[in-house]
Amino acid sequence: MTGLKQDALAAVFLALLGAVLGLLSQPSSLRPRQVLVQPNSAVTEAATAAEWLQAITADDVLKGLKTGALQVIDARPASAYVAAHLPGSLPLWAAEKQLLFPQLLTLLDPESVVVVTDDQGDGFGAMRLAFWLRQRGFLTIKFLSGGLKDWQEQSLPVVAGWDFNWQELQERQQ
Amino acid sequence: MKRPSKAVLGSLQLGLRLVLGLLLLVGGWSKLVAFDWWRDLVEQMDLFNATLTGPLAAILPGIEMVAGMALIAGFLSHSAALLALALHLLFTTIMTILWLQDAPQSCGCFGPGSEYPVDLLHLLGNALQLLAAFMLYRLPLHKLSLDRLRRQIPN
Repeated sequence: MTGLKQDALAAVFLALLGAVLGLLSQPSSLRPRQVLVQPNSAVTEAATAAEWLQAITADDVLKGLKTGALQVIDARPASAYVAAHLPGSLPLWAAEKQLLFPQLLTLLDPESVVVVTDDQGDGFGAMRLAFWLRQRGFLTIKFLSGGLKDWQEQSLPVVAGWDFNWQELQERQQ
Repeated sequence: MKRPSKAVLGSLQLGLRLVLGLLLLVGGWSKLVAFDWWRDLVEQMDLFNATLTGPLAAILPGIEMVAGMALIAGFLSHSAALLALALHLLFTTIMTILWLQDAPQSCGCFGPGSEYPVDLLHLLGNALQLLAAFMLYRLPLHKLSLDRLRRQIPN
């Protein structure tokens, strides 16, 4: 038992050493993160006021999805995407967390209509995404009027689960 | 049944020490060099208090690296194995929770390049490392370790 006690004490020493090293290497970890832009404030207002960004109705999105005339990017967190998303929509979260933005861009056609959405449609996540796409040369960007919330209230089709092709994006990265 | 000789057990200890040590070292290092990404991921897990996520995100990889280096060098080997055991118990618990949540949340085990949703294979891999850490604690020391060298030096 003495051996175990000594080993455990030395293990605590090693853990403390590791903790100190970790904190010293990342001093910023002790500070709370600065929120540069408050959600649903200036970004949303500026984006919705922009002429290049127009709303699109759920009916038009449904028609566009059937004909393949538009592509949808979902700007909500992973858990919300898994619970329910528009058929064929791309999860922004996956690309963001995997640092695969360039690969996400290759899945989009700059000539086609890109629809951004989140729960509200014109929430912070969707507007941030719209600005980002605009900066990268996408000309026709629309936001889903009423977002996923209205879409689901109208009982329009949604898909649950994680049907996104990770492998395809990974292969593009290589 | 014949018990494996001390030399065989020692070699097994050396092999497990190097593999587990390297995994911990690489895992810790890859998180610290992409710290913002890793901190984001810990926040996204939504398992810890918001004020704790920053320090925790820095402390865990630091401990991983120290445990990994100690195992590779064979310094305080048994204590490092105990520490690795505790770390893997924690990782397995977190991964099980993420897996049960059925969200495509990554464990971020080896930095940004290793982002796949936690699945059964992940859990199995982690369970194997847990077992390896336990075995390491029980196995005798190999001669290629600082602990053995330390014992040979007369006081």
